[in-house]
Amino acid sequence: MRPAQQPVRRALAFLAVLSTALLTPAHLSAQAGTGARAVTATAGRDVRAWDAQISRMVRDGQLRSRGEQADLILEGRSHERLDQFHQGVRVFGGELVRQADGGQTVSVFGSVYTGIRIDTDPALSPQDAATIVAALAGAAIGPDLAPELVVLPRDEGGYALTYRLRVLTAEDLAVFFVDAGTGELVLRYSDLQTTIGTGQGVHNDTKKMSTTVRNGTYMAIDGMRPPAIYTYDLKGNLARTQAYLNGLLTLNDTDVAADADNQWSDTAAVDAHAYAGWTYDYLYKRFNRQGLDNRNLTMTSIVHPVRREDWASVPSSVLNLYYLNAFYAGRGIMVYGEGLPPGVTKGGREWNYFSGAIDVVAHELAHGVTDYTSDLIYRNESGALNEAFSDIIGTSVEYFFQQAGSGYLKADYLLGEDLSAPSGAFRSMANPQAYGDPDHYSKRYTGTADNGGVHDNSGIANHAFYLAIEGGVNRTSGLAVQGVGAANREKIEKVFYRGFTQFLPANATFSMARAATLQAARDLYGAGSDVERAVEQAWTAVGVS
Amino acid sequence: MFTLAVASEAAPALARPPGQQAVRPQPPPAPKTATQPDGKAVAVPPQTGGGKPAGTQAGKPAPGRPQAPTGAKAPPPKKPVPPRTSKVWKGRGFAAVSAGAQLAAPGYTSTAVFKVHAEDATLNADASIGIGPAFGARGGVRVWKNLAVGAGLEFTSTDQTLDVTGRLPHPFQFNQYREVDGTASGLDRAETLVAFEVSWYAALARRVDMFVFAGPAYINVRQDMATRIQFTESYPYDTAAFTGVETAPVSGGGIGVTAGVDVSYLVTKQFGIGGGVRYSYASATLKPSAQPADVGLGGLQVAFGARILF
Repeated sequence: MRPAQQPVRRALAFLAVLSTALLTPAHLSAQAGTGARAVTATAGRDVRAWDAQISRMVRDGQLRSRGEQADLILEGRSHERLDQFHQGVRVFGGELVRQADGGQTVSVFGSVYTGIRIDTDPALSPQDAATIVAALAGAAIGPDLAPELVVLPRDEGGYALTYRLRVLTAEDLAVFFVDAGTGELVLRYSDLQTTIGTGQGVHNDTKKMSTTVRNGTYMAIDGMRPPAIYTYDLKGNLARTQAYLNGLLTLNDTDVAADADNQWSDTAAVDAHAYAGWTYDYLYKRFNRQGLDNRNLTMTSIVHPVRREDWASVPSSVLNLYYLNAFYAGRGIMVYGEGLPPGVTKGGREWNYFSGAIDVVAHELAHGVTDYTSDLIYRNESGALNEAFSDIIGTSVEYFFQQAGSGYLKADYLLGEDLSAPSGAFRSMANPQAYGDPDHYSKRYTGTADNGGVHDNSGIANHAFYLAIEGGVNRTSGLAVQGVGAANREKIEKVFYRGFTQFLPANATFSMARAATLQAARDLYGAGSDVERAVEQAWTAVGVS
Repeated sequence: MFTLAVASEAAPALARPPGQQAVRPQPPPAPKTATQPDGKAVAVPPQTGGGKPAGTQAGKPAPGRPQAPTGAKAPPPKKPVPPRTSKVWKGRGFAAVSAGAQLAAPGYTSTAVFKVHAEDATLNADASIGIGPAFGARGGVRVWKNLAVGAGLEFTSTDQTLDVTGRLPHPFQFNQYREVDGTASGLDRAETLVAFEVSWYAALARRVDMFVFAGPAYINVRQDMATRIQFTESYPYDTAAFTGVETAPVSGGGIGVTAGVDVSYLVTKQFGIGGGVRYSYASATLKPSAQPADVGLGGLQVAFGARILF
């Protein structure tokens, strides 16, 4: 060997060592945000490096094994979970999972947090923290529910020494983190595992379903919107339905509509659940309203209150209430009729699940809004205005989410047209007389039936709403209205919402409704605006002065 | 990455004992010319020492021709400077180690499709590669004149920065997307280059030499690639905020080319130092998810190191 070859060897050996030293750390993990290191070691060198790192961290007390479990599928494999600790306090979310095969590490996954420099001596006791959380949650906390002292990696970076406690509240399964020094709330999140599934609606349209996973089952509990939205499947148990509506029992998880794979096929439950959420969205986006009571009241939908196949044997009152109807039962509870079996007709039409029409769902929920605002008395003119407001909201929600047109799943001024086959409707806002309802105050029903004709006389206000948007000529008065146009429907919706919910008293009259909506138009768009003019012309055209 | 190679001054010179000046080969004398009355230049045969010019007497200068004074020495013939390429490399080979930096590298774009709220979300990443350390070794043996063949091995470790745009489905409605964008940095990338290289040696000065090299190369890369967008959202979910990306380590490689030049200064007969640049390029198709991405590998590197001649 020439003398020169010895330095070559030394240089190459040095290079190998240097390269390994500099390049190996880059292979271990990816930085997953400030202070967080995501670990996905599956290849030989990475696994060996992390194996050694875990040994060092265990020796230093930075990792503690939570235990090792045998693999139930692959024989010989085992899985060990190791929690990260900082000065004896668990780091929330810091965890490594090591898979071994016959003692040989196969993979390491997890995340570890770096750069933790906080003091782990809490000023508050666990009892202090539990008291604070109880106050925050509005729930009593028993002595067995002890807060855990943890180091919390903060979303905005850095760490906080906190007490962690999971509490079941009336609306949520919430996890609280309170500062172990000051008692301030650092983080709260819902531990309800929400997810988005899909389902087929009554008209075989695919919708998204906001659901919650409990014990491996997907449940129709919407945890993504501010209020809890439940859809219960009463499985045709009318007695249970009535007992619940009368407050004689509370429903539980077994009553919640459920699905095994989050691909929902119960069309009644899908539409009830989705449309309830859409209605909440409309109220929020259009009026900045937070649910029925503006305080995110829980919204509860009841589907399958009776069994379809029993339709022929039930009293007509049950048929009319629980089969061919939908109603708002107060306290945020809606009940949707079961419809009739295929091939069975009433009034010459087949009737599907009553949750299958978005305007019907929104109509019932709007009764809840009225309950918490003007609380219009459900008889005579105030009752007609109550119904009209629900029709207005129902139609507005339909236009908010569907394309204008005719037929199923299209937005129009018909009410309930998606419920029957062939498509029909209960009422028309564009032409109330087509369904036997008055389009002019002079034609109002003045008898006592239907609480003084609340479902008939609503046509007067409905038609005023229609004319204010679309314009046109009232068939009775012959008066023309210059509407704001379909593109500006939002303005008229806001005017009627403001007038009906903010200004009307419980015993309001049509005349009051005119004055209230004109005031709303002036408030929102100014005196003399085209909106005020349209509203004024519309009420005049329907004979309300 | 780039490695340096230094050829010793002794090795390429003609064989000589250590310490002795190299003897440069003398070029043959240029043919003399004379100008004829018609102005044409014709070749004049060189005079021999004993011959007389025709038409002249012995000892007397021929009329009309200048002569050097008697007794004066004729100036020594000017020593011609040989072209540097004429310097013949007589060494057996070279080896070199280097450390430096990768200054520029080709970026790439990648796409990922992933599920969000029961719908397909998309991620588009425009990656730029940062500056990172580079280490390597080269070696070769002379096969013909100044030509050597050999191999190179290089490692680079760099960070990637991703300009990310994405479309995230709305949780409650189909076909309603939220556009997000942001930057993710600190993604790892490491490359290993193995090259077959042909090198040409040239002497630039007494102790300064140069290798120009090129050849096919295989470049392997192991890098993080973005697979999902991390984001936050809150009711009514009409917007979403980009917070980062989820990544997956991906490996691959491709055959390409490498070329470079290095210049060295010889400190001793066998050891020198030097620096130079190398450019390499290959491409690989990496598949961090169902969507493959064509990724350019290599780049421009500068490095300094030691070289050894043998």
